[in-house]
Amino acid sequence: MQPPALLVIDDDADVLKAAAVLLATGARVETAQAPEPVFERLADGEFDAVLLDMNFAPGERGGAAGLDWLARFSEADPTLAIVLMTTYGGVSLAVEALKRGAMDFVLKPWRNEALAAAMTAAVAATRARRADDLNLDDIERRTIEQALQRHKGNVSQAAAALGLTRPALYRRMARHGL
Amino acid sequence: MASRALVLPAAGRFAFAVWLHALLIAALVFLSALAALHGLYANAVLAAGATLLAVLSLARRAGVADRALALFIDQSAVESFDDWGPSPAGFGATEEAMRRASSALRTTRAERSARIDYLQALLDSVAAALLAVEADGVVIPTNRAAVRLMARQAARLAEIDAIGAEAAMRLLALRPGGREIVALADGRQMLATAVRFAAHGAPAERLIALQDVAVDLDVVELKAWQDLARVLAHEIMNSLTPIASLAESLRAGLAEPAQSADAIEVIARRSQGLMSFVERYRTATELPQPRPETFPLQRLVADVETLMSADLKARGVAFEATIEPEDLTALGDADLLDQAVINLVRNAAEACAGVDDARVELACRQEGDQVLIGISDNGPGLSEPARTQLFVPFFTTKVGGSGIGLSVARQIALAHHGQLTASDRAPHGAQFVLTLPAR
Repeated sequence: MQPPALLVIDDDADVLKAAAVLLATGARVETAQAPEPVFERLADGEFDAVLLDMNFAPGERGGAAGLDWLARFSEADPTLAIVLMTTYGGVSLAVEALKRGAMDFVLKPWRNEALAAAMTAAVAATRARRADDLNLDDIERRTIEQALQRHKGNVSQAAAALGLTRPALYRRMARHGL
Repeated sequence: MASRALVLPAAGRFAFAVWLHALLIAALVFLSALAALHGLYANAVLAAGATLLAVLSLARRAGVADRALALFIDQSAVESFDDWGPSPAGFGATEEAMRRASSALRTTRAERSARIDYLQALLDSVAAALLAVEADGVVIPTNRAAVRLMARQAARLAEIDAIGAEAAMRLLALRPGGREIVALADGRQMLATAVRFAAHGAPAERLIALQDVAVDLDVVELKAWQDLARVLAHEIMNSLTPIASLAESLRAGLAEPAQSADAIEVIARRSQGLMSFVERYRTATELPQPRPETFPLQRLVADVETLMSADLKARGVAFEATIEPEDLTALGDADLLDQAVINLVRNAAEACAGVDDARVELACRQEGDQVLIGISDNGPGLSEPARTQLFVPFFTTKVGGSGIGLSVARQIALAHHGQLTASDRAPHGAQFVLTLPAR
């Protein structure tokens, strides 16, 4: 399996360095000082987990920006697990973040072990969701569709290509409603 | 009394009596003269005696009328008409007029006393103690709260136990229109305000209002501390995040050699940052006591221009200063105020640097007995998180900002019994106004 790809977003460059050094063991880490530039790439499923700060401007403390971006990220890739981090550890903010679909909520300064564990769990969650998306039935159905397309609807040729008998292919097509 | 003997219609009794007396006297004089002419000297003497009696009677009647008039006037003066019975003088039309006048005065007096009762009730409902201090220092409580504060009779402010000599001195030193928090001898914190007023023709008195603000102050203080604690925690935790994590990673041997040097550099830099942060904290909390003296605003403007021109030029910000009138002076510590205004000008320059035609204006003018120093820019104005936290120490919206400048400027303004306020400016930009006493 490929090493997981992590994305860390925080406006403090030193925080990014610290996260990169910690998480680089066994993962590919990419960092960004703002969410906008990397947002476009999320839909491609390039990352396995995101560590997202909740405030991106000096003086901002409410965490509203983090919650907004959490919503946009989840919409762009519903399978992607997102861990939020903040210096303002209000219980209500943590509850709000989890309710809105954050995988976890980490307080700054973090304990290395705790952050590493949260990110490992996030990667596992993302991969599980993506695997669920592609269960065996889906794979079979997609394969049959592709074979039929390739052979322009000729069932005999498609069955031969798939290594099935014609009746066996018909049975499976009926099951998938094709 | 003569009036009882003469029973006549009320109207014109006095006039009729005078007329009758005059007739009688004239007749008696005529008789007396006639008798003397005819040699009837005994009769003449008799008639002369009767004339004398008639004159005396007239004089007595006039005396009664005089006393009745005097009584009416006296009563008008002291506004007591309650025992104004039927006049013994029998004045007729005059008496009617006097009766009407006294009734009108009685109504006016009743209305006025109702109005005074209402005003007194209003004064009593005010929670602040209102004390009138006469020119000679005699103090008079003007409402219930003041009476309660005084507890017992006292002639002077310092003699009021709850106030005490020290607080009394500060209260009496309060300038008209001034406001100050004063700690009383009984330990209460009072917001004291003073106004000067003069009743018609009387020498000017001072009215001192004392409002218990302990409760409000506690809330404000608590809020200030919470804000400060939050900002401090944020600053410290933000710096500690990379320090703690990188130190732990280095110890665990997670960092590659190239990263190690970088990690150590970050730890050193952020630790330094924390130290200088604490240094700044010390500067902000140890503001020297101002030494006020009257100084020309021209000096302040010249200082600011000298110290800021390079910085303004480097940021590409135009600067204009005006003083109206040109020889305007203010009372304050010129060095501290230089610092406050420089902070405000720098803040304004940072706010508008980069906008088209960036411009900072410093305008000094007089308003009543106050000097207003306005610093305005044409930047983006006050942002929402900034608006409520502008003056919270260490709060900043700028990368690398210390969060000290505005907070120190505000502290300097307050130490001068002045104010520092901020507002947005149309069409865009922000304006800070520092208010100082002119004298």
